[in-house]
Amino acid sequence: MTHFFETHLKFISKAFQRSIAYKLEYYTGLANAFLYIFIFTSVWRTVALESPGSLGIWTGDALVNYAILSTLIKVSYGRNEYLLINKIKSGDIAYDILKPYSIPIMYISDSLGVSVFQLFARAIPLLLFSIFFFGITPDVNMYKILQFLPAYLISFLLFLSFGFLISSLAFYFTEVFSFYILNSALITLLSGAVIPITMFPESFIGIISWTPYPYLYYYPTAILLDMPMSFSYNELLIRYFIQLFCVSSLAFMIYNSGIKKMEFAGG
Amino acid sequence: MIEVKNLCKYFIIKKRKSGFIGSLKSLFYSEEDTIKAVDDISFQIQPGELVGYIGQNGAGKSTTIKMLTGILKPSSGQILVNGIDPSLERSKNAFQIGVVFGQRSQLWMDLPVEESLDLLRSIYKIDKKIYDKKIEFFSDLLGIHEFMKQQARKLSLGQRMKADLAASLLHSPKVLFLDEPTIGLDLLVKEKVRSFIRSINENDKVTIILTTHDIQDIEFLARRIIIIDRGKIGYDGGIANFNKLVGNESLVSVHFQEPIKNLVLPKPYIITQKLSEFQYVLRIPDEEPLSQLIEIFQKNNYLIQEINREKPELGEAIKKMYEGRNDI
Repeated sequence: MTHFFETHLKFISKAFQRSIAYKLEYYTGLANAFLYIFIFTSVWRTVALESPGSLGIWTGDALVNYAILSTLIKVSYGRNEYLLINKIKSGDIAYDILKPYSIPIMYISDSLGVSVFQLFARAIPLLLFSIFFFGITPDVNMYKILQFLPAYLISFLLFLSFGFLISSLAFYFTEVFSFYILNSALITLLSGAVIPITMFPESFIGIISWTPYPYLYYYPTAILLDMPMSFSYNELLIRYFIQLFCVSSLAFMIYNSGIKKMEFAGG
Repeated sequence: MIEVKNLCKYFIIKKRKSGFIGSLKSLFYSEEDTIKAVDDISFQIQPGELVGYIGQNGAGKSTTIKMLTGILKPSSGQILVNGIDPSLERSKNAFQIGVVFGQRSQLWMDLPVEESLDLLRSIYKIDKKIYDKKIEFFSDLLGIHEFMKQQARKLSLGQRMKADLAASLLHSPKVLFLDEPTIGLDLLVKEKVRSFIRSINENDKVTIILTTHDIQDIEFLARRIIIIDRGKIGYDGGIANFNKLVGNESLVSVHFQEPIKNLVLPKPYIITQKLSEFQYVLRIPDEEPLSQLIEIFQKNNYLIQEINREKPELGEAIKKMYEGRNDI
């Protein structure tokens, strides 16, 4: 067991080192996130000023706080789909199959390393930046943080499952970029990363809440901002586990069947 | 050490129709075809043997290696590597085999070589002292210390191959599969890699299966060759015996004093190569004296500057086997 943890800690550490190896990519990523926050806070402030009555429970400050916190959560998750996609496409996954470790757990460890990097190198600087420059004042206390952490952790695993699912499609399709883009679009629209889902029409919210997407960013942000939800915290956690179970099972099913059918053509 | 019995691997491929209409039809229906990549082969390899496993492109070499390592599951037949079925016990098998695919790398490309090797140390549960000794050994024989701190992505092809060889042998495997380990390397690096392979085979008694298109690799390293052709074994035995089986003919290279546009010779002489209008290579039966050939040249007023007779090399013999198909 110790050996298992030691090996996977090394995977995490190597992924962190890999992420830090490319300085230009780091600075452009950070600049992107700054720009993203700047655009959204500006848009929401303008919307709140122009049509104060049309946003329901949302005030301008609440929307700015929401935009910043959901962006911080989003930035802290490291996207890592192309680690596996590239290995499958090039055939280099053959070496992973020959090694005495589980490829899905390696993927999780590697993604964890990328996410640790994202958290410390991007999310935390962004949080400090937001406090100083945008003057965000989220009313966060220890109780909310304790409620937030399990939701954040499961939503991270859900995010990884999505990534693993998209990666595993590379066993079946030569090009999976369209799936990657489709998933990114659905995340952008339905996860609450850009628009809080309560702003959608009531009937649409009902449909969205059955999909795994709002569990990625909307609910963790809603917990931190103490926003009203139509179910209790305990029910939310049960819903989280059900979504995680469904998405990860589907991802593993696609992966297991894909790795069996892989043919490793060529010399 | 390795037992292969009636091994078969079939691939089903979809045939796409050509043209615009054909492409549209393929969206709804495509015909399937079965390709026999490996077709009922059997062989045994003893501990410490170094066997050259050769064949043309698409002959089934790499497919066999992939089945022996456990990456591919056979369609039928049986494989045992040191008593383990590789496709059923892949993890257990992983500790006793090392693999180098010449056209791929097991290094983490964004990290320095030493980081990749350190990660492999953890994966294979290698004791730190043994690991340090291994690194020293690889540094002495392959000179990996010169690029240990370099990012794998920035290594030359030769350096990358040396690092891959070290990575595949770090956990002291009993069997090493080398799939075209010298592909694309320059002569000096090839020689170093070959000497290293010979050294680990002779000193550490590592069983090695080597697939390559470079006949010099085979001649330098292997005492036994298995030739696979269209999925079937064409020959399995010693190199010397193979030469005898194929080689009841010799090669004669002739350098003329004056150019000859079209050299025409009676039977049984066969012109195998025209290097220039001055230089030709011929194939003649062993029992045919060279004097007879010289006489023919003299009759035709072809002035000879130099003439040499030699037994064909292994490469020529293999080429002849492919051309003759199943003659042996």
